[in-house]
Amino acid sequence: MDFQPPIINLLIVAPLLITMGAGLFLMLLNIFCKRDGVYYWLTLAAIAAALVQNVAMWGHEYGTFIARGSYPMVVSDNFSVFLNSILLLSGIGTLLISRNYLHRTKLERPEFYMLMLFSLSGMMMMGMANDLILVFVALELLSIPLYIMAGLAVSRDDSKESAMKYFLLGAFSSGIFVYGIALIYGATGATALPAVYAVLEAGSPLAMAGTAFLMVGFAFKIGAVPFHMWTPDVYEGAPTVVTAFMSVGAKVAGFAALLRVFTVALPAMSDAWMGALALIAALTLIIGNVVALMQTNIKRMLGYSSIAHAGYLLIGVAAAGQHSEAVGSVLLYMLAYLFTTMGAFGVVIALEHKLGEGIMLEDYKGLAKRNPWLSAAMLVFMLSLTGVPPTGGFSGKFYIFRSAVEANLWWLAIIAIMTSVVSGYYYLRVVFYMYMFDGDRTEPVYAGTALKTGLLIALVGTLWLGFFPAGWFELAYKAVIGTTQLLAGG
Amino acid sequence: MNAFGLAPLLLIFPVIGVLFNGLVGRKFVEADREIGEKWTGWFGTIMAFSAFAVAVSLFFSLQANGHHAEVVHLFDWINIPSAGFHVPWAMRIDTLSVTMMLVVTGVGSLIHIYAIGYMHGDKDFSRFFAYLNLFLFFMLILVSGSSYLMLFVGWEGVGLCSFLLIGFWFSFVDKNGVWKNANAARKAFVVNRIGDFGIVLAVILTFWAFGSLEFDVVFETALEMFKSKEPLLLFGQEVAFGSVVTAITALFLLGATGKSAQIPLYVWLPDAMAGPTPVSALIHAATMVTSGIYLIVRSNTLFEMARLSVGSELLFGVISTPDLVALVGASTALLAGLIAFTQFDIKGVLAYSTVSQLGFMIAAVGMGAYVAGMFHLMMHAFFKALLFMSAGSVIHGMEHGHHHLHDHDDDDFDPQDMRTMGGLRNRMNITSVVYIIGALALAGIVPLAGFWSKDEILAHASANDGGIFTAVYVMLVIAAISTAFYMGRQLKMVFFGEPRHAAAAHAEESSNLMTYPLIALAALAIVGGLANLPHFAAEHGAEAGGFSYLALEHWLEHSLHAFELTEEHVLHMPHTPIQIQWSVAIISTILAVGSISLAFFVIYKDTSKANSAPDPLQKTPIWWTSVLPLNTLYMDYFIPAFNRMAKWVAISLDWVFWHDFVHNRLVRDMFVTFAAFTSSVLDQKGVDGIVNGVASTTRRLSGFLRQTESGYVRSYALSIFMGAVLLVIYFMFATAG
Repeated sequence: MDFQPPIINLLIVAPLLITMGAGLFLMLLNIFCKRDGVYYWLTLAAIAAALVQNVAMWGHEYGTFIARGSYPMVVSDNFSVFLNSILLLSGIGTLLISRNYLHRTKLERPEFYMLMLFSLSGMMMMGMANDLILVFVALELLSIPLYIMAGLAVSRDDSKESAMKYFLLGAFSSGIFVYGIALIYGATGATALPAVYAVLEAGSPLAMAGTAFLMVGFAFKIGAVPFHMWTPDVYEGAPTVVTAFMSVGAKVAGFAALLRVFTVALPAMSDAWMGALALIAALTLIIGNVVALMQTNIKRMLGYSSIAHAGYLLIGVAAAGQHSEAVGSVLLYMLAYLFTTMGAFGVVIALEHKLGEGIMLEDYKGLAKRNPWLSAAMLVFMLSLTGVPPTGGFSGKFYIFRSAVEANLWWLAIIAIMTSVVSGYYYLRVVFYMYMFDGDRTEPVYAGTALKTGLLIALVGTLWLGFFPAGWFELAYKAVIGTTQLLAGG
Repeated sequence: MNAFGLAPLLLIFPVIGVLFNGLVGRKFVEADREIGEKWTGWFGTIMAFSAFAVAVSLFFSLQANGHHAEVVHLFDWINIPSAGFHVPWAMRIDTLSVTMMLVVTGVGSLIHIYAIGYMHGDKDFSRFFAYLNLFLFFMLILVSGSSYLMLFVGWEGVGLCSFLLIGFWFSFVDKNGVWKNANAARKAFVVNRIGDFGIVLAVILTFWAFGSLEFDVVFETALEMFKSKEPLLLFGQEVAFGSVVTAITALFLLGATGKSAQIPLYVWLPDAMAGPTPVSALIHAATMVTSGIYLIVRSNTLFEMARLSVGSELLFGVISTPDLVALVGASTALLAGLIAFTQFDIKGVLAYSTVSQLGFMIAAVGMGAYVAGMFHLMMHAFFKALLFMSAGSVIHGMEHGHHHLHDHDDDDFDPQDMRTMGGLRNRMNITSVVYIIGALALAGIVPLAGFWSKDEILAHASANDGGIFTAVYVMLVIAAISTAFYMGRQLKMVFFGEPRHAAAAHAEESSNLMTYPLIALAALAIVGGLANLPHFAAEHGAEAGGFSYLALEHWLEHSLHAFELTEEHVLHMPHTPIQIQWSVAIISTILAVGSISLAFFVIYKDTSKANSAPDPLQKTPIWWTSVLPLNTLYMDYFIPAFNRMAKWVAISLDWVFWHDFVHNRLVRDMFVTFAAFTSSVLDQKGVDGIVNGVASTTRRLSGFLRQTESGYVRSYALSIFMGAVLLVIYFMFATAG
């Protein structure tokens, strides 16, 4: 048989190429240039360019890397464009809130920017991958830079510890994930998602074990219970900017691949995995929210909070089969989560005057007197995380809960609402500390222009989504239609 | 050439004003009192005027457009595809909304100017203007919204502004230690909540019944259902269309009684006069309190359909909603008119008068006289704003006079008490002239504004026989007589005779900033009637050539779908006479003139009385009774009897029964008891017990779960492994079962 070259259209992966290329370029530049500002601006420009290119692909469906007679390995559709936009925005957000912080904490090294660009590339590939092998590659591409980034603050033991833990556990879960791919391949003889769909039959024991193992890999990335244990430790130990990046980027990427793999390749077993996801969601909601109650470290609290939010997002995934707007709700929720979490971490960073200091709840006492605008912004973000109207967090929860109810997941909706109430306790405690106590310090914290810009964007985004969710929801809904029948609801 | 694209500016200008005055205005005023006040005050005023200019351009656009309604879509708001629930932010520009916009922004602008003078020296000068602009913004949303939900947004918004402005001087404590202003604000807010609840239910019911909240769609769908005479399927039950529309309109009426201060919810308006006078003029006389009338006029087709419901579809099986509306309006007009007799507070008289006049409007729209109601609404906006602001000017003058005295030994001095006034005509020339114009317009003296509008309502009531119309007619005529009487009484007490207090003798005219807007409003109160003159003789056709008779009617009928439907014999509205009813007009004029003269002779006939004189009605001899034996009859029987009746209405019925018993005892105390019960028994013991239990359990659970976070990688890895095993087991069972 003749060798036939695969069809390759690089334009489709242009956003990836831009971020990846920029990362490599910075690596070379590192030999000549030692000025930190250059890296910052180049990274910002690269991400912005990738964002423009990404948005330009809205409304089309492409596939590339197509071997003859096979399926494309990489696809680009509204779904991936929407998620990649969230990821790129999270990159921009991280840069904005990191500018002054890195400088202040003496962490500003070119490696930070390169690693971030590589990780971002991996995250974007997660949503575009149409083949299990490529999903795995993407997963590693996104994870490995994150392991290093978590340990960026080499002067601190907890940072090194968190990097080591993250790496070991990540490697462990990746191993299980690859095993899952192998089992699926064993059951179907294929790794391309549409090919798996075409061959797979419900009830094959190999495929079932494979599905369970894939779920472990994804659940680890998104920090769902009981695969969440690393989250608080790593969130606490890693430099705060890395935590912010991780909490949005890694989670969104994990959900992107989870949604595509499970709805494109594995609808045959949808009853089983939806039930499992609903159970995981319930556990995640309860444990994430309940343990967060006792935290006095803001970063750790936000770590548990991010676990809890993974639970809310999982509700939407679990409802995907029964309700046509469920996946759209998940996307909307991610958008709200992006703005709110970035904003909250922005405030945390503003207060962290020295590496690892100023991140306890105590440090927020009397902030409202010192920095009224910063406190007002934090108030909005905390309300949004709790899910109080008119914030983006409310809109997201509203659509997600509605999907749960429409999909007859009443019990899950009730757990979600009750845990939301519980979450009010620890989110509003921050507000309480800011507004009701007098602090020891009197001088306002210095935020810096980039951070302020980032906070402003996050604030506008959070409130915009809260006041006018309709247009955004329509966008999120459009992002889902056409990807697969199951995504759009069956 | 049309300017509909400009419509969003109508809302944007007030918002700019709010932002400017709310964010930086204070800094300006703090930096330099004089210049700061000028900047912030005029900035707010210019924003109001700009909105007025936009409203005027919309007016001309509509005329050029052949009066076709235009919906200007701003952006999407709420969208739930699966429920078919779609509410955009859109503005509906039609003749009705433009009329309201012109009144709101026009009168509003004049009041802004006046407020610059009135609020001079107040420490929260810029906050006041921020609130005023915010109020304009919400009021314009209310009148321009294209759906019931938008209307409700405005409705709540103006309620909020009303709360903020009544309680503007919230830290004020009177000599008895009562938080008068803060209490009044809270009362207004809480009472309005009852009415707003009605609106919420009505909006929900409208959506369930008609599947939309857009005015166009609602009325269209309702009409089709009305024609098809088929029952609706609501909550799985078949409900007659008449019942649904009756329920919706009845709930609208509940909302209107709250916002437009009608029986039974009128009690907040008299207290609301605690706010600054420009607020009383703008919100509690000219604009916000008329939103109930606007709501009913806007829903005219629904109300006319409700009028035709029969039998069990009627409200309680007895009365149709429009009839109830008319009765509520007429009885409010009468009751409040009687109460106004007994007030000594210069603003108190005007407050009850406003309630009474709102009753006229509500009665008019209830009888199907939508144009007459709107006409009276406009005229009332002119002369009542004028009266309130002139009263403010009088109060200002009295305070000035009091300061002038240097001896502040009488701490009891109340600048609003009419018993301390008298003879102000000589001290405050402009104010007294415009006040008299306003009072005569309100009393309905030819040819001032109030005459034409009030007469149209009375003519409408008399032209239709039977049903509730006669009762309404009688009540409104008596209310009209009382109106003339209490206004005559007020004029006499304030401006004529001799000063009864040293402060009144030293009162001073207010600044030009305050008097010029008064003159402008006085001009409107004189010529306003031209907007809708009736035909004077039968031979005039409907179209009377060059001179535009019934201009308002021809203008508004484009928005009043019910008129058109009546011509098509789908609906049957009550008949409205288009030419003047001489009998009604003459009788009402004679009664008004007689009533004012009577008041003049009764009140303080002799020269100065002590400023603490209890009740002028009782002690006043009347010249014609002194030559006739009628004197004894009048003095010994009529006056005490009348006095007792007025007092009984005011004290027993209004305060003791309605304010104290029903509102304080029943509503408030029951609420307090219930709240105490819920807080002590249910909440502290029950709910708190559960919550505390849950909280402590949760905390214990949290502490326990936290221990699983050992920090050892090996235990984390074990957890992942166990999770994987459990998942595999789950999958096995899920697919096996």
